[in-house]
Amino acid sequence: MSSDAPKGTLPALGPAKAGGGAADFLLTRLEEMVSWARKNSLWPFPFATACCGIEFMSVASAHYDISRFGSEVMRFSPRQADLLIVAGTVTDKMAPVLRKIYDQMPEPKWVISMGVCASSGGFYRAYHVTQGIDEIVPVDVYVPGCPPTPEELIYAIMQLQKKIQSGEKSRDQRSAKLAAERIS
Amino acid sequence: MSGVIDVSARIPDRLTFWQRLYLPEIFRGMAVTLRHLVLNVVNPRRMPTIQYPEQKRNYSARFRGKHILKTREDGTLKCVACYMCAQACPAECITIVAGEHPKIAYEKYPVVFDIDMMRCVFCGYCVDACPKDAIWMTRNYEMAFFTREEAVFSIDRLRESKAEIDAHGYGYRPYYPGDGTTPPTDASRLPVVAGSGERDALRQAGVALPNRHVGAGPLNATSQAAKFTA
Amino acid sequence: MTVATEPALSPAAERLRGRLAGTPLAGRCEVADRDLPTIEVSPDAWPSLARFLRDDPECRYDLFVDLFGVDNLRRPGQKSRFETVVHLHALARNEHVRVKIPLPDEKKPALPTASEVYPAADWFEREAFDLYGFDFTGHPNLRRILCHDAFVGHALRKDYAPGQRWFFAEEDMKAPEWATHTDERAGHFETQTISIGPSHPATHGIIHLIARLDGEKIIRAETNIGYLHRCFEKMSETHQWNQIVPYCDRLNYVSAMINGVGFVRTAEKMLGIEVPDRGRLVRTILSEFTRIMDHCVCIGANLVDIGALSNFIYLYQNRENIYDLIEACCGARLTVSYVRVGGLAIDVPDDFVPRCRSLLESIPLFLKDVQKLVDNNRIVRQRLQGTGVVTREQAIAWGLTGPMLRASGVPYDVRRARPYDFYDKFDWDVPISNEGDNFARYLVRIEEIRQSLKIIRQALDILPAKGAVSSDDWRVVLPPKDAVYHDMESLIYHFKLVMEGIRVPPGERYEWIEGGNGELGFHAVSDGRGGPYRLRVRPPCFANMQAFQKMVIGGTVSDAVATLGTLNIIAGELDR
Repeated sequence: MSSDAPKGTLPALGPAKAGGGAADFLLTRLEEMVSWARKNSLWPFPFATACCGIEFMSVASAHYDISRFGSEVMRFSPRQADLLIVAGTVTDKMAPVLRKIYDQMPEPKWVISMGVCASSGGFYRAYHVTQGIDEIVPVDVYVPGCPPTPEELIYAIMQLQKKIQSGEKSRDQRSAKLAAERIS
Repeated sequence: MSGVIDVSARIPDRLTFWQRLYLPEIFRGMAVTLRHLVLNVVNPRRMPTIQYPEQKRNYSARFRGKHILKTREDGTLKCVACYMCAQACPAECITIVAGEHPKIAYEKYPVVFDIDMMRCVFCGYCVDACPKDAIWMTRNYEMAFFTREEAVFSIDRLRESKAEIDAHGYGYRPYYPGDGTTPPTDASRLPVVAGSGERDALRQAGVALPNRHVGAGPLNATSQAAKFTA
Repeated sequence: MTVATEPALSPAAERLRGRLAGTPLAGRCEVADRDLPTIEVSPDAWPSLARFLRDDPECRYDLFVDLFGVDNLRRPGQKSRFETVVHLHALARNEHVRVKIPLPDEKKPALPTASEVYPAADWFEREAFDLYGFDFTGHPNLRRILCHDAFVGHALRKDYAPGQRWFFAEEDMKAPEWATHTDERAGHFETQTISIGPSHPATHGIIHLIARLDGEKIIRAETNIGYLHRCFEKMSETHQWNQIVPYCDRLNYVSAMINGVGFVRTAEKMLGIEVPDRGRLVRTILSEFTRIMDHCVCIGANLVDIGALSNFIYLYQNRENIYDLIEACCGARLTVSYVRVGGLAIDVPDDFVPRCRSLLESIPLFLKDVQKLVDNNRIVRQRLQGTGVVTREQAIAWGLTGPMLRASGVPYDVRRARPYDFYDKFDWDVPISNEGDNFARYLVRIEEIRQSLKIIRQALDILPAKGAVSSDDWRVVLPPKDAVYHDMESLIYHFKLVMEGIRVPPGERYEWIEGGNGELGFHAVSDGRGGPYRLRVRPPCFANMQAFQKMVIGGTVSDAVATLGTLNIIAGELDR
């Protein structure tokens, strides 16, 4: 995935650095264990607005059963969630709400943008549709598809798990920098 | 045609004493859910859960997944950069820049053929629109991106590859095996036209050749983007 | 529009003309016969005409269907730049009528409100104000409904650029006056205001409910919508006819197929082309399957809201099984893009009929489980029975359609009232209930699933084994690929169709079908280009949602949640 990525992308993800002394060794192992625990208990906040929300329901129901990945605990309070899944079109009217929810989530937090509407506005190049939620919140994983199949979302969650294991916490600061560059 | 039925009349309005006791109904309900549990344990194949990623759902041959650009026998793209898919696309996610191919039989070729996967809605209209059998879809849905830039697929990632087809298989396409459609003749097999078939050589020899329209299409994503900026 | 020779009027138009002749309205409106009987009226006479149409014993157009604007800026030859179009329905005779109100003042288009005559007109008028800037004088609450409060301009006017966005911040959100101020004289002593949504598990999709509570009782409520306003109508003006089909799928995304069928039927009627029987039957079968999916999600989600999770999982398995069938036909699970103007994208697979039949076997099993769990459960009964009651009169006045209206005792189903495709050939019943509460709506939906299964069974019996699914008019339908590859003439048709789109003759037409939630209508105006000049969708959810803020008064918040579930609000259709 990252090998043929064009320039402008973020640096490739690697495992957490191995430390020097005994204390470092212990702490690194601990860090890895924390990452491992984090990636296997992602509690999602389903920000389901539209069609993708219906496919998200599929992911949660019997056929796909997201609990196999430790993510079945849907939290409708942002303060208890650490994965924001934005499933569906976000309009300009909804944008402040999304930002508020994101701000209310405790660190570490991750964002999956499910479907093309959330990722870029999709085929709604229109007067009331946010052209990608990365205008509002930083996004960790984008999932294409309109709507993505449930497998595609699970695949994205697996990618995110890899990323969490590598030790990256959130994209917030780096995204803010990218966004600032884009505006100027 | 038939009548009208009153659904509320069929069901007693008030619950019986036993039903109002609540507990018997709870046990009846438990029996329903427990039956499912026991049947699933006894016969695991009855369970609907698909153990993705180890096990994959069997999607049909019409599944609309990632696009591929078909190739001729000599490995060049079948696409002649006619912009029809770009025009048919409701999301305007296809960007084509055309170039003149040195071989006459190949007419034009796409210098740039980008599909923005972050805009594409996988409706299959590009496949329907293609008159040259050049764009198909696969059953590949395993895509996730860390940035928006890497979601723009260029020719390298769209070109048909055997590995991808072996792993996922063809999806939505203009015709299916057994429906009686004869695919268009592969241009690499066409007889060489008038002399060498090389455009430049013919031009130098004084043969009048039509100038093809090259460059960006009439309605591609870049010109659309200019129209739709916020 | 000039008509050279006046054809004979239809009985409905004749009756209207006769009834109007003796009234003071006679000189101020004219009756014509288009696809529907059409009355043209000046703005000042509109409220009295509305009153006449509702109350006259021989007219009795009691159900308010739709109100929207049209901007004729780029359509020369019309009377005025702006016009308002209203559709009404007479339940007793199953007739539609159209009222056209040309607005003479181009700078400040205004007309009197009809919301006193038809309470259902309230939100429709707000929408016309929002998107066209029509000033409905006398409207009690004329403010934006779909676009956000910081929006400038009126988006559906022809001189508004489709991509022009406006920044909206949290500070710009406006709450109604009564919610922010406590007025003790108005009985607000010891009351509080709560805000539910727009992101809340009980608000399926995204709506925003502001309620003032007195203890536990809701004494005043207001719903804000528009959080999923994706500009369907503006987008359809910038696309070709066939390109709109994917957009239609995303209107009511829970039953995507039905929307597409509704839309292409309008285009087909305007073109005057016929779809082969096999194509129409496949459309019918898949539409009924999607109706089942729609009801499954509605019932399942509603029961989850009131605390019963297993039903959702059982009902969702039905959905997944139907997805299998739909994906085998068209290649996508949810957003099908399967219909095209003139037929279907591709013929159904060979094993279509056996697959349908096996679904017909499996769906009732899950239904039986759900009914065992729910029907006699005391908690469900207490949550659903007697809550969210809508009487017959209220249902008609608020313009409800679909299962909502039928649960209040009005047997209006478009499939029965104005049979399209093959619905008049099938033997099926319209389920109704006279209770009008949430439980009645649950029962009606369950029974509709059974009736849909019955329809599918009969449709499969008469489905021709072979044959075309699309029209062979190549000005409308793409020629077969075999011909495109090897035949120059077919290639030319193919090229013309892709590059220019379908040339639909100029004119306008309203066609309506029974969607998952009620009457789903598409009003298209064509000016002869490859895409519609104006496409209006009549969303059943919009009228149903409008009633919500009135239905919850007097109940508790938990009743409101149960009521919202049985309304089956699909945001994509509500906000478009």
